[in-house]
Amino acid sequence: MTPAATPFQLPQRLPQRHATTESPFVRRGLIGIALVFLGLFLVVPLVSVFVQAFSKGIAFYIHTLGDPNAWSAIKLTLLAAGISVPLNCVFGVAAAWVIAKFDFRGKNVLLTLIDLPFSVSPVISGMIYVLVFGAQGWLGHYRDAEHAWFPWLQSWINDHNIKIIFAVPGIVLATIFVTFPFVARELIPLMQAQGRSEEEAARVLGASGWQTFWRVTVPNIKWGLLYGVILCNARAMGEFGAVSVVSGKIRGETNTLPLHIEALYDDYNFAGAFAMASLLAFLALVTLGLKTWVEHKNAASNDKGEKL
Amino acid sequence: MRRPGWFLSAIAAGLYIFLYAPIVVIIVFSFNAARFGTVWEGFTTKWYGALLHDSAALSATKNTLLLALVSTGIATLLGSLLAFGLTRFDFPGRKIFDRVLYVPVFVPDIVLATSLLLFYSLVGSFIPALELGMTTMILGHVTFQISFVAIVVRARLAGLDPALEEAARDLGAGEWKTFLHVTLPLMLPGVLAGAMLAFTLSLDDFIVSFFTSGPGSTTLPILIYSSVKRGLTPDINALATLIILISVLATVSLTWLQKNKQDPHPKK
Repeated sequence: MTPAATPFQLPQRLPQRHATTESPFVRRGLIGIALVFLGLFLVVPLVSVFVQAFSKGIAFYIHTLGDPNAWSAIKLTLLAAGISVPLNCVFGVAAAWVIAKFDFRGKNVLLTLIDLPFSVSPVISGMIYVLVFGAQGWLGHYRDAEHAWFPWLQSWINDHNIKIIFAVPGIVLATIFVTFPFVARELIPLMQAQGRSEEEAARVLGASGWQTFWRVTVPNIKWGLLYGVILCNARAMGEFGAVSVVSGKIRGETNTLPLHIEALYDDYNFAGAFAMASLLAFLALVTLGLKTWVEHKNAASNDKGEKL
Repeated sequence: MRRPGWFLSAIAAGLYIFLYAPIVVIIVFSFNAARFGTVWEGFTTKWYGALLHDSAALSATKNTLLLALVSTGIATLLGSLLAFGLTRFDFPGRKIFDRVLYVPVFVPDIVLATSLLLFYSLVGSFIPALELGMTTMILGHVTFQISFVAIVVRARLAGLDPALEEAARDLGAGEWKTFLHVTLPLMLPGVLAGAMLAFTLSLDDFIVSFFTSGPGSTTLPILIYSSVKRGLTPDINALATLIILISVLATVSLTWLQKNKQDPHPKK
């Protein structure tokens, strides 16, 4: 999912206002339909996943999670998230910093580029890497040397026997691409709203660029940054489309957690698939809890700022 | 303030080229005359022409558009009403529904997809309409779209000045009149932005469609997925290029709508 337009921590208004309240009938009707829909198609299916996961007993559940292929999938998912989240954190802060604090030509082009991974279908995101690095690809492993476009790069890849597609590097690359905008999207509106005056004051008082960044900018954006990291991590661990195109789905080697769920499902091992799915769903619920905590903290620190 | 230094600009440019060059490659190769491989054999637009006669691509395009339009319509209506209800009224369990709203944002797509499939297979035996196909895909898309629409619309509603509605009621307008003439026009940019976001999400979605589709309801992302497995061909590059183009246009207009909605009281 792409929460492209989820602004960080909106000012909440008290919900009840007496001057303009509608009749209870209209009130219930308006919200009711949407809530019934969400309850039926979201809550009921999610609960049934947990029920199905334990349908063959706790021993089977533990057996599924303890399977070597499942372990390798969990480790690969953690590895991909562990590489892509810190990298995108750095990219995101840098991109937001440049957009909010500098003026330059082509700013709108850069903004569009940052959003691009949101708008491109994940399957196409995976496909572009297959086209470039795949066996028949542009920089492919077995490409005919006669027609090499970048002979030095190609021979370097061949000499070192580096596999990108159907291997771990491709999965990491696809994950980085897909989760690229999350941190930047959270920080850009926040940093734009905060303006440049505090940084300018720090510079006038003699702070260096790095000092300004660490002592002024980072404390201002820390909750927004954490929120972006949480979203980025959720997507990195759950990504299916792009990763499935580049992974090759070799069990125990290039299957991530979401791909492992699909593999178990294809084997008609439904209880196993739902056991793995319940693990991912549990991680998502933890993420949701973290998000609530971050928003709570952010609201608290805003209140403190206002009192001072 | 200042312009970024050349060193940082160079690193940034390198990074963007590394990540985005593959997209340029796919666009360039969709105009390549060679049927196989990646050797450049001259410029051609024949692959785009071939798409017009490709029945699989045409029916997938039709399915994708139908799915995106219908699901966006339903999700925009329900999501906007939900956002309105959640910002304006207090009722027991409001906090919980507030959390539920964010579940599709955080739950991985594969979990949503498998849980929907499980649900359809459990319910499908009682309700024949819920047999896998276009209906189940539309319902699946609406499930995650509602959240995104509601979140966007709620952001817009939270920024509105309640005094405007109170003034309308004070001047004698009824509930519906106030809603139609004051609230609705004010929240409309948010509703449009939400609808655009929902449309893009549906257009790009692969995994929910993949799990809940039936025979004959293949969408473009599913078609591309199965083609990539068989090996890349130039007509698939052409198709991907077209999809990228449409998605980028939708995102640019979404950014434009959101930029306009920043200011709830535009100066005349």
